[in-house]
Amino acid sequence: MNCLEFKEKLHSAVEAHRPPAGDDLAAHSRQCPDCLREWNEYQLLTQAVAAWNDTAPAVDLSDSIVSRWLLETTGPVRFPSALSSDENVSPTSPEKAALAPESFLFQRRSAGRLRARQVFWIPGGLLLMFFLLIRQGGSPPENSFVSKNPPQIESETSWATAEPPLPELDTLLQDVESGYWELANSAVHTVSDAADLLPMRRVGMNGAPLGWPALMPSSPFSETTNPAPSKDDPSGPLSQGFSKALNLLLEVVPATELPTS
Amino acid sequence: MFFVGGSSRIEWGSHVIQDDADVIALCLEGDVDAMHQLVERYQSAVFGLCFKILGHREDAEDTVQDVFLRAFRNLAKWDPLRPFKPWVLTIAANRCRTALEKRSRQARNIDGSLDTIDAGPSSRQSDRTDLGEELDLALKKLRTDYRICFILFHQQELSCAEIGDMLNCPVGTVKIWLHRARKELAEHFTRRGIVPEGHYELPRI
Repeated sequence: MNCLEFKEKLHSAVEAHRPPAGDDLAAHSRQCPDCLREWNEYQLLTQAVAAWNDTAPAVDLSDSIVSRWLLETTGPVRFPSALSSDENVSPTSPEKAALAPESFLFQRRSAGRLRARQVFWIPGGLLLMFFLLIRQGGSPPENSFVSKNPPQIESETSWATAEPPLPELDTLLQDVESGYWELANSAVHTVSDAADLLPMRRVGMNGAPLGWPALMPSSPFSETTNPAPSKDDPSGPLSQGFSKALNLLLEVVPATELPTS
Repeated sequence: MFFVGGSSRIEWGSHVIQDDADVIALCLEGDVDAMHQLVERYQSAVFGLCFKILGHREDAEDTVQDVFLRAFRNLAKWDPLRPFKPWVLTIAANRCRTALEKRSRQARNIDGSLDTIDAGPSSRQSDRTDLGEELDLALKKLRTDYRICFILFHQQELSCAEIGDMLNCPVGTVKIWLHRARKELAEHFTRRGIVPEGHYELPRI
């Protein structure tokens, strides 16, 4: 065997994951320093790889991987191993095969339906109770089974009787009339004051006429000295308008006795 | 669970699963037991690869979970005519490479810690465990491509053609990487003064 054959045999054995056959490789390596060095390297690496492969620790990640996958795809799911002791089944039993995965999907669907029912029924029940309580708080209809004159103890324990009574229609109408009267009264006072104010501007404190202040030299008011209203008096139409408004308001106000409030 | 006729035939309750294709078909239908079986079959191989490449148990476990989640996500793309193991190991190798790049970005300098260990030649170690740990240390100093290639070849016992398919490179490149990896590891052992059991030296003339 020459060196070329030695290298070919050694490399083919390495690539095939098998030890080199025969003793001719070892025999040749004892005659050639280069081949001996390569032979020793091969021996050393073979021993190191064998020792190195023994150091790999064991691991069991199937549960965490599958649970993470199911969490990623469908959401949280309980595995049979996570069930309680009375629910747990043997891994080899056919019950487990019958359980998974349809039973888990069924459990998930059932839980979803239950949640949907809760979402609809709880607010519905609360709304029904609310309407019933409001109905009991008001006056019962004629054909109602609720007593018109309930016992005192029942009215004390009922929260609806503790509420202030609803305003009656007569009270509402009285309030509206009072509001209208107050509005008309203030309007009358306003118009009366305005009507009284205009002649006061024309008369001084001692009863002497003052006339209109001269706003401008060319103003028609500057030449006015006569206290009696004339046709040229610009306050005439205003006074007449006030008088008409006052008369109209006095006609509008009812002649009956007005409420005091 | 009973293994019948090798690792490719499994009895599970009333089900009899023939091979990986059947298990994967059940997985695609959402069968939780089949998912468990698939993980249990290949988790050791995937974890061994990740642990050897990353050199850290927690990182390897995280990567294994990531690998199987990615495998489940892309299970429909798996070709039933090809074996499943190289496919999932390809995902594992890529994930490990990504993890190593992330680790190097985070400036976790493994080489610095290795330099302190490699400060001087040690005494002759004949213990198998020590030899394995020495190989671990030497592998961490290898280039990532060499390391992945070496681990796939010597730990997973894949052929050069399979590794070429996995790493998407020619078979010749795989052989060169493998040869260089073995050379560098041998030089590391020589520097450390480690010699094989029953090694022979030529008589000096």
